[in-house]
Amino acid sequence: MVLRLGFIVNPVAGIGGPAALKGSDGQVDAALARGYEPTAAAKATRFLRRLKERAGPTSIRIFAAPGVMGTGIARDVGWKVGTLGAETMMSDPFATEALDTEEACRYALEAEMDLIVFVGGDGTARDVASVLAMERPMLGVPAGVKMFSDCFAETPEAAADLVADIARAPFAEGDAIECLEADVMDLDEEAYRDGRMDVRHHGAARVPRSPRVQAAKCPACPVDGLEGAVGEVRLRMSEDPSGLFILGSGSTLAALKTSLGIQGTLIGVDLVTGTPAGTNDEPAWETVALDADADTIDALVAKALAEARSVTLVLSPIGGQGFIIGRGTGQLSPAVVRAALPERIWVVSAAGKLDTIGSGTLRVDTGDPALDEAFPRFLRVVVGVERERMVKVVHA
Amino acid sequence: MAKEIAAAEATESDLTIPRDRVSRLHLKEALLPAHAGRPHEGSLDGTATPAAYRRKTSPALPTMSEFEVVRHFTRLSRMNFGIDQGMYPLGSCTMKYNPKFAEVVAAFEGFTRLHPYQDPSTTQGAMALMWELEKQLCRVVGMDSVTLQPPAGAAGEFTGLLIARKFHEANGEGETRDEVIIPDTAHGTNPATAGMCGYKVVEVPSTEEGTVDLEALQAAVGPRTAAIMLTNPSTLGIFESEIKEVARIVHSAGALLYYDGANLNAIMGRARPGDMGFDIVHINLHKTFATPHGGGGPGAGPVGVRSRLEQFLPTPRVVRQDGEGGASFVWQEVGESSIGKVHGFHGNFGMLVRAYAYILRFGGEGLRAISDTAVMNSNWLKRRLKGMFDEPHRDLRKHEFVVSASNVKKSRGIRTLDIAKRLLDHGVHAPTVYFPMVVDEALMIEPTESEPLDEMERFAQAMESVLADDPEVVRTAPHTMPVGRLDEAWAARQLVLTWQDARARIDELAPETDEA
Repeated sequence: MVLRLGFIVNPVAGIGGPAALKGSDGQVDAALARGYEPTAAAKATRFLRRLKERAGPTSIRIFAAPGVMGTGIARDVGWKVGTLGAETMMSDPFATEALDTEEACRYALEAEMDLIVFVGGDGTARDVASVLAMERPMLGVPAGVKMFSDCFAETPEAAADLVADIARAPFAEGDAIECLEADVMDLDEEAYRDGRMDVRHHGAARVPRSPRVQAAKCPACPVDGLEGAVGEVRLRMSEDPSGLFILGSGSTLAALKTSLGIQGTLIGVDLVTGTPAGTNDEPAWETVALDADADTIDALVAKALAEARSVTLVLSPIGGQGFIIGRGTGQLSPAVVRAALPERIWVVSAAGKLDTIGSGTLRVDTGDPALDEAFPRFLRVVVGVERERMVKVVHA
Repeated sequence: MAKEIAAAEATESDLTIPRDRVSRLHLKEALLPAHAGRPHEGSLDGTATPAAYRRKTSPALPTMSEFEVVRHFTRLSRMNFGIDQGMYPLGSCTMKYNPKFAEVVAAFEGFTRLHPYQDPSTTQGAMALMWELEKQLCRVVGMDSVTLQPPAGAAGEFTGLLIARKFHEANGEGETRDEVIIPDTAHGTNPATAGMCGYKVVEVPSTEEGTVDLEALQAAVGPRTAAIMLTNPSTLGIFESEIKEVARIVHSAGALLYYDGANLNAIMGRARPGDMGFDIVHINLHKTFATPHGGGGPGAGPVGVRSRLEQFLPTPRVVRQDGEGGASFVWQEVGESSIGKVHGFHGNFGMLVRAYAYILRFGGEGLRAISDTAVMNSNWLKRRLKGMFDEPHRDLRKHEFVVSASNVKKSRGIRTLDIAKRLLDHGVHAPTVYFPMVVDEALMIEPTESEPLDEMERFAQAMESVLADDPEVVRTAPHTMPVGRLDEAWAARQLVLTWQDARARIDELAPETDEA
């Protein structure tokens, strides 16, 4: 099988980092003024060189974005590539914009690429994901400043090895590449520069399934456990379905929402409740509110408490950082957290994802320092069927 | 058919039986009692088998000469690696040398020709051996009673948890106590066993020191806890210095402490799980007591318990009765409270014999010397490898130690897997890799007391050589083995399981070229 690979480079990705600008969007002039140079091209070259070694043009057909966004770099490495879109000579890297990335992605979709590899950071990931959505798998070669998103390989070489694996695998034409869902996250750079940390979900993406995508502790271990963990939480919800369940955002909880059979949102907080259904053990789940804001949630919680129903907060940590409350959960007020404490804050995560949290701890920032202090020191995280892990909780 | 046999029987004739047929005829006579002592009609060809079933030609069975078969298996054995060849430094496996005197004893006909269903009056010696072995093991680990039935370590774990469950059921807490606590450094069999017994697993993290985080443990125990499963020293080779506090926390919650005996080789004669507060212990005879394993034979996982749990042990038990004629041994059913049988018979008897011989040969002082030497060897090797790897956690270890190759990954771009494969090219068996999972790029090394300094020095030199090697050579190792580096992702997809598949695959990879 010949793998049709879309290749898009954000030539200014990463420039904001060394210039301590917390991100590159809109900061190119400032960075250049300080004398910094972009490094994305070098990373792109490393990726292509390694890919050529491991797989080569007989098994992979590359279609790259024009000029400095792809074709130029590929030709320097000695790889004949097709062009995504018109070969308008993109020679000035600093003239490229997010729109150019998006346009290249649209061409990639139309030309039915099997996989799109982009070189950049969270900002680039957002741009790519906004066009690809879940239609085609994507993979990031890390070259950005912030990489909160789950869709990056560890290094340009690791990305190349992953793509080579796929190209050499005995798939038939038309077979789908096995994928996982990943979170596309991004930090609001303006907010950060103003002193506020605001990491949000910006969407989901499909990423090829491989231990090389996340820092694998064990090359032979599968990166899963998500199904088991989600199944276990669903089982527990079924034990007392009449309570109010507040389901947080992110790909793990999206998987839970799907398994409950509701049309939940990926990036928002959804509230559900269930009614025990007849002889069958599975309750019928209904949405009470979708992508709710803080006021709506507060009101619903107050109502549930008044009716003596239980209130359960179901959360999942953000990979890498480990926040369960305080990043991308602005809708959850301290009152809501209090209502769920201490027994009814449920945390769910695939074991592999939990392992990516560098500190090995969960982080909480409720907005109320007294509540932070009173928060339990340890939480049980559901990591699989009948499997929990005691994880330490620290407040930011 | 019966009529034909009857007709054959009725005829008597004087046979001159050729000598090469004699032995076969005798065999036939023994098999056919009705014909015993009576000559057959005609030659062997004229048997009672009806003509319709008799072969006209010889069956074309494949034959080989004896030496061809011998050479084949000898070649195969040379492609293998065993403890008789060199050090086998697998962490927590305790691959110590299997002494031949134990094999000699286990081969005594008095043991090999026994059947467990024989009348006990004919198996007194075997029962005496088992009774004495139980007592010896109780003393080594500080327990009050032992069962020898479980045929392996994980089977011992299963037995131990069944006992715990029965205990809680007897106290009316069988339903409420549904959780087992397991540290993140545990052997994989621990959570698997807990799951098999129907328990939910609650993992607790380890501290920077490598010991159980007491705060996390305190948060984890409660009225739902049935037991905690611990290995001491842990798989990091670190002794749980706070074990008494752990025991206090767990017992206060009404739960039991279970000891995984995989690392017993570190503490014999120096410390006993019973003294630490453990209620149930399993012992790996194939690790600590040198019975062959790793493909060398079946295991044996006796389980010891404190007296309050004795009533739950598997049934039956060997009981000694002292009478006028001396001691005699009987099988006694344990009763209703027993968990039942965990083995078809009484355990892997051949392994029990070897372990018993080992214990007799070394005695208490010898066992202590064995553990002391194992600990010294491990620390010697750790010291010898200093500077090559990252060494997380505290310095002093017990019989095994874990290092991290993260530094090597960063500086030379080679991973633990690559190092392990390249060691093979040096004729050195690799240590355990990527376990325990709390250590990045882990190498888990246990030399055991069997290894002389020379062998450990050889290991260290091979390691030095690998780390100084051309990284590309290491990344593509092994180069001198019968099998190269397997592409595991592919191996899971394209299984080659039969020789026909292998033949087809070889043809596929190297097609015959037509010669014009």
